[in-house]
Order: sequence, then C-alpha cells, then structure tokens
Amino acid sequence: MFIQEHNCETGEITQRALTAEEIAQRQAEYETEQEAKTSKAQARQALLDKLGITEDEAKLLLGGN
Amino acid sequence: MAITKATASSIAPAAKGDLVVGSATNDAAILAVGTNDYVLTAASGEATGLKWAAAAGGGWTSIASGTLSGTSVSMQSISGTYYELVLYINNPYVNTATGLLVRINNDSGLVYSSNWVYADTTAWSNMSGKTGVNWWIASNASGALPTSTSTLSGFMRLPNYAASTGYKVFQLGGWGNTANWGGGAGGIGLSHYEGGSGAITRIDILTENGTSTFSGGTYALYGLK
Repeated sequence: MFIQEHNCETGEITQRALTAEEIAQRQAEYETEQEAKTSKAQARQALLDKLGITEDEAKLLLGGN
Repeated sequence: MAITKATASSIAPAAKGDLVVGSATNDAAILAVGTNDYVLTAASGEATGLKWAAAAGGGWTSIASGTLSGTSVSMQSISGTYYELVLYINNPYVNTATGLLVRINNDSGLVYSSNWVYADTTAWSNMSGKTGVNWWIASNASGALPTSTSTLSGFMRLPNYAASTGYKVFQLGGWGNTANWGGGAGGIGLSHYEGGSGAITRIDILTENGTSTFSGGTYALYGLK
C-alpha cells in the first residue's frame, strides 16, 4: 500500500509505501469510525424502542408537511 | 514635460483611442489604443513608459492535478493566497468497494459532518461520524466507490479555506450510479470540518477503509484569485 504525495508549491508528485505504523493507524481509524456508527445506530434504535415507534414512523413525524 | 501648442498640434491623435504621452526624450508621442480588454500598464522598457497588456491575475488557477493512485492522494503545501478552492474528481474506482473520504490538514478525528440529498429522495442523509468528509460518488446506496471504470464524478467547493479562525464549510456535488435508482443519480451535499481553526494547507483524498486502493480516476484542484 502506498500514498501519493503532491507538493502544490513545486508540482512534484511522489509515491511512497505506507509505514507499518501508518497502516495500523488507518485501520484503527476505520474501526473507530465503524464503532461510532454502530453505537449511533444502537442509540437510535433504543430511542425508537422507548418511544414505541418504528423508524418509518419516526421519519413520518420529522418529515414535515 | 511641457507641451507647446506647436508640439501638441504636431502629435494630434490620428485615430480613435490614441493617447498622447511623454517619451524618454521629453517629446510628446502617440500611444495607439491597445487590444480590446487590455489595460494600460507601466513599462519602463517602452519608449513611452507605457504599454497595453492583458490584466494580471483573476480567474481560476490550476494548483494540482493527476491520477488517483494508492490508498490516498495527499495534496500538500497549498498556498493560502486564493479566495476559495474547488476540487474535482472524475471517474474514480477502487479494487475493493469502500467509501470516499476527504481529510483536512491530516486530521483523522471524528470531526467531520456531511449531509446529502441524492437520487429522488427529499430528506437529508446524515453521513457524520466519519474521519473525513464523506463524498458521495457511489455505485451503491451505501456510498461505496465502484470497482470498475465509470463516468461518475463530483466536485467539492472550499470557500474561505485560508481563514485562520472558525469552522470550515464545504459544498459538494456527486454522481452515483446504482441499480437501486435504475441508473444514474445526482446528489448534493453540505459538510463542515470542526477539527481546527487554522488555514487549510493539506487535502487528502482517501479510501474509507484504508486498505482499498484507487485503480483509476483523476483529481484536479483549482484556486480562485
């Protein structure tokens, strides 16, 4: 895996391999993102359950007009 | 330079737009009108010290362009001398389906908010909670890039990108192509970055999962002066 770096001052384009640390960091970032997404979905479902309505019904309530 | 009646009459303008100007020998001379839309510019190397020339500056300037490659493309050392930036991506595709993110100043925090309206929907879809601006150039409803060459494209506008204070707000457009909508579908998005208040000097285009690589497509960054 590599990154393409484009220096906008000089116009120079270089490619270099990602370091092991960079690869690990990218994977950790993605996992954090996925965990946040899951957590948000769970919170949304918990609220729907508390209100006793479905997601479609919630959309109907918030959709306006 | 003093222009006497005699010299004035001898150098009387002979054509529409002629200017009477002083020359290096303190004589009066005629400077003929320039090309349409040119402006009068000081030019010490000219006999009259003046010339007609195209107006300098203004318009869009190409800052960076190239082919999408690797797991990310990083545009660095972006000058802060423009009013705003616009980034175009054309025909991107990857080896393994995943989303497309744009990261500001290499900030990988969950500090980006993106909302989209696309296809025939009327409600905004919230694509927040990402480690970059989520750019909807997609081949399926979940927002993944295609895995083969296509005609998908998008733009991202970054006004006030060089401001040293405040959040940065972005306007986005994208084109998707999914079976869900019977072919192509356009989308428009609004996004903001609240990770830092400094000027934007680096923009990274990256595959969301960090392991997919770009198989093709192009990027182009322009600045408005």
